[in-house]
Amino acid sequence: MQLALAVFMIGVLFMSKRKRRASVEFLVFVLPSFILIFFSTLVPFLSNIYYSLTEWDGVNTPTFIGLSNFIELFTDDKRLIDSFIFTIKYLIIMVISTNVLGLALALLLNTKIRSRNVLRTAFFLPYGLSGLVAAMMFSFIFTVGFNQLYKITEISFFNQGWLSDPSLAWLSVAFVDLWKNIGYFMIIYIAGLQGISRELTESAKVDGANSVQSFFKVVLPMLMPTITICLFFSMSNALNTFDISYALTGGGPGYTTTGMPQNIYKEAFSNMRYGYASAKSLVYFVVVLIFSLFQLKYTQSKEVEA
Amino acid sequence: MKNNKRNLVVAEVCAILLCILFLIPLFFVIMNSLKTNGEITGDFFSWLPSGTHFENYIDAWSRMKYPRAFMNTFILTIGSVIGSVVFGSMSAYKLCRTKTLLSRVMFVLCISPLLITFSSVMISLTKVAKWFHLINSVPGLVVIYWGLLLPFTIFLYHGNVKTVPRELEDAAKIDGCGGYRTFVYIVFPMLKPITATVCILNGMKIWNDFLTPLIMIGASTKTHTLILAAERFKGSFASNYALCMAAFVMTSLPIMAFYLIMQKHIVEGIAAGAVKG
Repeated sequence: MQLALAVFMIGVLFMSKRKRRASVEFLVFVLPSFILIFFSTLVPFLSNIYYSLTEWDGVNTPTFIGLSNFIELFTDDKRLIDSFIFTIKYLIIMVISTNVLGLALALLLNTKIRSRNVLRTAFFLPYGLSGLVAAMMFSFIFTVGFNQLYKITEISFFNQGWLSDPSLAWLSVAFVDLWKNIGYFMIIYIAGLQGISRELTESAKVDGANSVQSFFKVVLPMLMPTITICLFFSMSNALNTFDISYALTGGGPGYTTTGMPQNIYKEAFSNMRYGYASAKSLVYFVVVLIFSLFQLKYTQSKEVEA
Repeated sequence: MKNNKRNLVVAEVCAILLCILFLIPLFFVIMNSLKTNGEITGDFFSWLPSGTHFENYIDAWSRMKYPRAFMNTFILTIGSVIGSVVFGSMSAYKLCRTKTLLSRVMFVLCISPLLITFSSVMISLTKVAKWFHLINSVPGLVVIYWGLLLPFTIFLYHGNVKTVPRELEDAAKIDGCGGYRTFVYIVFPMLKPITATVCILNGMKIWNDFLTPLIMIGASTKTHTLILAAERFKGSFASNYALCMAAFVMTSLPIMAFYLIMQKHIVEGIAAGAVKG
């Protein structure tokens, strides 16, 4: 990169005056952003690749150890497997629930009911909370609140380890995430629904389609661009999850609700194994990239159809 | 037609009931922040507290060093938003209007971080921040946020610059307006709608961010943001429920107020951001 810039600088010297001014202008406009991005993402990313090949505690100089981080990672890390399984389960449940329920809510609040504006605001409200604060609130509700609800109602639903049972804790995390973010997806879906012209749905009705048919044959295909965007958002949301499990369960019990970002965080900043954490983050980058490219390709093929 | 109307009423009732169920957790958090701790352990779900105990708020206010945390969060958010708008719009404009190979390469490099998850850069980012002495300082984190926000900001602006008619710029140039002034007086005002979107999306992201402040400025209480302060607060006073609830409510109050006032713009911004994203 520096080489390219040097070549460019030398080129500037041999340019005509008018061209030179244009080039300087280009640099004034573009260079600040480029330097900022270069040092905040590109440099860390590249140095991550180097650190992943080292043993490093974050303080002393890293020692080069070749691929042994990656060997350990793939053969001897039970906690990583737990985190990875959680991340995938979480991805699936979040993508399905936010999109299905977000769309359902959008359909409900896109009708002509009188209180729709107030209701939209209400459902959108939790999105403004930080995930961390929302999760901390729910951590009290799941423990103190549920405890007392059980005493009052004696319904065994409230007497389960919603935050301590490995088979339930991940659902609690997903629930809080859904509660916080559903309004966001509702807003995008409402905007999408309003972009569909009335004439289409009206003419479907005239042609004798009932509301279920018109939804699946007219509305849903027209909504495809919105759906792909929401799928993408919900996916990247789930793959980057950190705040909610951090505050709600602390990633526990064990590592069963530790998402991959939190696993990497713990490895580096709690266990002080920066080199190993870098290796993990690199592998996770590849996994996320594959997901993203797959999604991108799928989206493009859909858009060609539409 | 009559049938239709009845359906609408049923839908309305369902929606309202659902909404009440949806907001009940928030309601109880606010109610419990006004109780004494003994009342909560005795009865979490009583509708109203015995008296209003605002002392929880006063107590939490001083113990979480609220004014300082608020100022830090405020500086962080405003600084990051202004920087990302200034640098983002400038570079997106030039990258869009210049059709050279270098410009194209730079554009790809500028938006390539969109494919890199934050967790894959955060470890080394703390080291880079240390080289530049940007760690453990609020203004330092502002600079880091510029770099982290710019790829998406440039992406949003880039799509919008295309819609600004070139004739306007050419006319300005003929009138003797230089490249910089053309941008400031002609192009940037035309980008106002997308600027609003960028401000809202970036601003909300920074205000509620937890992970980046945690690794960059989490070490000292002097540099804590509201979210960090609330998290540390819960760590120290986990058994004093009333105090924690008061801290949570206070932490959320500024952004909630902003939310309700700016709701229309936020909704528009999110919808616009989704279309362009």
